[in-house]
Amino acid sequence: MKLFLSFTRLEFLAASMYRGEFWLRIANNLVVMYGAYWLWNTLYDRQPQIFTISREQMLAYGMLAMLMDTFFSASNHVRYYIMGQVRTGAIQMDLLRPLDLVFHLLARNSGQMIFSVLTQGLPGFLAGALFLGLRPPSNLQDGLLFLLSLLLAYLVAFTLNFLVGMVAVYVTEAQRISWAYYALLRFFSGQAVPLWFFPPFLAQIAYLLPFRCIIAVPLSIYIGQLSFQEALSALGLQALWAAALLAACQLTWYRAHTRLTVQGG
Amino acid sequence: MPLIQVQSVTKQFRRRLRREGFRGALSNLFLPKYEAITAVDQVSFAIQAGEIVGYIGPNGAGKSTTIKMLSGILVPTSGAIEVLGLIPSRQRKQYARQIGVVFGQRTSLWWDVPVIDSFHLLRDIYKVPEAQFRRNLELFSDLLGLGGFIHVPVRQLSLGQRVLADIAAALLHDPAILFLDEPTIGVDVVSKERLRGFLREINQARKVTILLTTHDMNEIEKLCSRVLIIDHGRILYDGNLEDIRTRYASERLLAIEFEAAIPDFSLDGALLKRSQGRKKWFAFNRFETSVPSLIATINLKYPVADLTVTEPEIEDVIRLIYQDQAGRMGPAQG
Amino acid sequence: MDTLRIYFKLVGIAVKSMTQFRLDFLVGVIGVIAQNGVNLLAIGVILGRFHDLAGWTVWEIVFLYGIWMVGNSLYSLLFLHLTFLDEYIIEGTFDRFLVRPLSPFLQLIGEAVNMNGIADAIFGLACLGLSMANLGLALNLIQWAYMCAVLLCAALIELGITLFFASTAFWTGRSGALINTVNQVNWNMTQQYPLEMFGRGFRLFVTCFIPVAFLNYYPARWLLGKITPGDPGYFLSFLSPLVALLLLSAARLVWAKGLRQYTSTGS
Repeated sequence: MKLFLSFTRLEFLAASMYRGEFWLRIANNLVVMYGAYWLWNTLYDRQPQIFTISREQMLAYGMLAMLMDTFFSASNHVRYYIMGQVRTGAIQMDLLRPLDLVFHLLARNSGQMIFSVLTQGLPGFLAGALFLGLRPPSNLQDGLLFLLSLLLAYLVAFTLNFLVGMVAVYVTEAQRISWAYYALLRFFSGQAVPLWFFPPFLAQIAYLLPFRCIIAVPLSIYIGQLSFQEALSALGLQALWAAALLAACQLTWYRAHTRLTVQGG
Repeated sequence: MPLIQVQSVTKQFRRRLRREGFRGALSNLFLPKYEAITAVDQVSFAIQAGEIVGYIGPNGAGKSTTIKMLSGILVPTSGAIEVLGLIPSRQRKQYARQIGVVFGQRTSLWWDVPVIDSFHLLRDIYKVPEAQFRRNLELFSDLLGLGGFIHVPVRQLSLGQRVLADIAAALLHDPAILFLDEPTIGVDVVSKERLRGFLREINQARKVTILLTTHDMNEIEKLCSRVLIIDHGRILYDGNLEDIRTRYASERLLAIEFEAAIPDFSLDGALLKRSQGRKKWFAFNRFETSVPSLIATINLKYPVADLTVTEPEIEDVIRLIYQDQAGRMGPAQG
Repeated sequence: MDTLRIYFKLVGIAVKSMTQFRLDFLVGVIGVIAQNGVNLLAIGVILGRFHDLAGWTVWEIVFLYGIWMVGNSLYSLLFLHLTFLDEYIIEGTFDRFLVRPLSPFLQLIGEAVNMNGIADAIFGLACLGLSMANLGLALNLIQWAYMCAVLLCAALIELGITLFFASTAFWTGRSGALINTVNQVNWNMTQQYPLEMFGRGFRLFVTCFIPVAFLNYYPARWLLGKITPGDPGYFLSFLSPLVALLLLSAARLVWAKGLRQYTSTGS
């Protein structure tokens, strides 16, 4: 546990070295949140009856979906790290260390994640509240469940990134596959468009995939779309996916480990 | 009329201070602080056409910065540089046609394509007449042994091969001056020798003036007649290599490992510098004391298990020079 | 003239460097299709429910997207690497430019070629073709000529923007992140959403400050016949070349200033 925290702290400090990026990211977030705001505002004006939720709820969903994406992108570092290690051959070092790679990366990424939440998530949320009318959850219960859901969402995002990163062990130019993954993620997580707008065919696919655990599920809880029962089962779903993916990560790393030591990266 | 003239040149940089710890991290984010660094301090020297000059100093002494100013990449904070009658940073393009630069750490060639393709492109950029290009290419390939890898992409070359290719590339357009910034760092012995032979050859045959930075004393000894020593941005010594050798680099260090630990003892012609366990270090003047007799004398007294003779580090030589200069200049300047 | 000849030689080498990685290109195509496909899919889903977006139908939006894509692909092919000026500086590649008797700017733009731009172009052209077919859009000669000009101007406008902000690397040592931020108004916003959708402040911003509205929106509006000579802002449809010119000039000034700065304070 102590080791976990020291890695976390290390990455947090490392992330704080980049000053200019801090303001840029805030600007970035504001711009994308603004875009989402206008999109859904315009659409709500056109046909309010299609929406089953209020304007504020829809706007909150749209803006937070963008914000969450930017702060989850911290977990992209996991992907990049693995791919970078494979590309430079430094993955050998990870093999030699008496450290479980999944644990190691989770610890480090948590540091980056915390940093991201503090320097992007919170300011972005505040900015959204100040300028774009973003409202907090209507009751404390939703709020707490949302935070829990956020944590699970992070785990799912982390594990997925790990797995995509592992592809780099088997395929030489995993960079593009990584982008394709990210594109799919943005769509099926409900970031670009809420899942309930999907035509039946796509909706079915979306419900089978884990991506919605990252954005759609936490946000549904946030805007109060789910009853307590529904929220609990949604959290359960997230937990299930997180556990399954963690196991998958371990398994994949184990097999990659074998392959790397036999083939020499 | 000296070819290269550097007068009281100073170069200062501003660098951001990085602070530690959590609080430091946050203050980095909002209130950055800067420090001023003087990389080159009132440096003056003049180089005549046809010289091979070594520019030596420890890491961070200001060598690379000087070369960058000489090649026109950096503008001095104060002072004047005039090379071939031009000001490098002002008349850059015109100036660039007459110089060749080789940076040891980075290649000037295009990474993914065969060496020969880079050469052709350089020919076009520098507008080298075809006949001259062919002549140079043949000559360089011969002297440097490029034939074996001229069709190989630079990416796949060994460091030694890459440096040789870089040298050839730098001379394709027959520049009057060649600047070399640590060209042989990490290079294998064979390539180093090839490089040195090549430099000697073009200096003699074509009167190319060469300024070479390094922190390898050996390199200087094999190539240069004149040496400039720089440390902390200041020129400590500007003169003949022979002088340095006789005056400052005459000390040698003899490290002996005895078969058993023995008490310290004194020796004629050598000074005991250090003693640790079974090892002792003796300093002696190589012109005054002969190594074989020294070892024989020691061995007669106490059996020797192993020994090594080392030259002083460049840092030691510099330190000696520095102390000497400081003493010579007197308390007013120091 | 001579400079152009050298430029083509530089690019030639850059292309030669790229074709060593053929598999990379193929996988790159997959990436391009995935990314853009997802954008269009999202639009498709939205418009499937809402029928039109601020008066623009599905195919009109695809047309808008297509124009953006083709213009951007040209930029991406030739000039994308300017975003990484900060890396060139840090790695010392830029110093290499300064030692040669050639304009460093010319060397910089000739330094690399991004073959993925070709995949982008194909996708963009497909969008244009399909949307024009579905809209039954018939353009006269002048309109065709202008559209081609716009595609070229789009690349130049993006070049101008990138060059302008990349030059800040001479002062701050970083450029990539800044350019990505600036381009946020571009990607996923003016790229696929008509300006009618946004507030007045935003419209002003992308017309006068980061003029990406001239990349696709104003020309598309005219080509689709959505605006007639009497409407206010009609003239904006034809300003793309002028904007490109002004932007490039401004960018060149910043570049020159940055270069002077670099040689006096570079490390």
